[in-house]
Amino acid sequence: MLHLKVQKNNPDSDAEENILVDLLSRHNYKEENIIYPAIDKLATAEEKQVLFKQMEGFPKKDMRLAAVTTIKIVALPAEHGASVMLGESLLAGLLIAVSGHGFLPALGWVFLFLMSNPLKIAIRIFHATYLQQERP
Amino acid sequence: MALGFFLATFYYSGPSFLLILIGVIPLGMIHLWAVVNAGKKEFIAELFGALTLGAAAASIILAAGHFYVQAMTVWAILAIRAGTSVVYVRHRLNQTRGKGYNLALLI
Repeated sequence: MLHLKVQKNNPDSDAEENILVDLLSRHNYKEENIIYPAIDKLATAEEKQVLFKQMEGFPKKDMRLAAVTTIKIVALPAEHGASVMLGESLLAGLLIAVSGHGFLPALGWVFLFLMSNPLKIAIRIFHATYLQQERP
Repeated sequence: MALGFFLATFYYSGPSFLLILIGVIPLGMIHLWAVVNAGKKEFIAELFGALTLGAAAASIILAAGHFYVQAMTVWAILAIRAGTSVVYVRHRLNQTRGKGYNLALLI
């Protein structure tokens, strides 16, 4: 569903995104707490060494691209309307009260805004991982 | 970083702008709650997000040494403007997608 909505440029996909985050959070939780500890227990020292060698062989360019994409998704708010609203609010404040002191809270608001997306993702992951574990 | 800039504002401009930041906390909490429990609550998330962002202007105005009345007036104007924008865009999108919308509200 999410894939189809993205293909059709349909922005009404919050519910599907939440389901995806919920699903990935459970997946992550199981990986971190069940699969990886089990692999650590079962794999021999040689097998681990081979695995690490293979990981080091991944193309550096692809690794860098994946890291940059992840940072962009997490750090930048997806809602462009919200950026415009903040810009409008900051501009209104700075134009009405022309003063050097006004720039300090303005910068504070910009960083608070940039913090909002990682915070939302963290809350969604926490919510999906720890507060809804009993849901099938 | 945000905390650093707000502390610097507190140091240079005094505590007056803190009232806005304290006032905006419940709005931001409602926004976050609605974002986490999205679905039927998207409208609440958008509305309270817009109200929260409007507070930026008010805090700048207070930090620059203006009166509360001026700051609150600007916040109210931005809140009304943002609120109507949210309602308008939602109905407009519903109209584009052929879903139910209120023509009177759009006009």
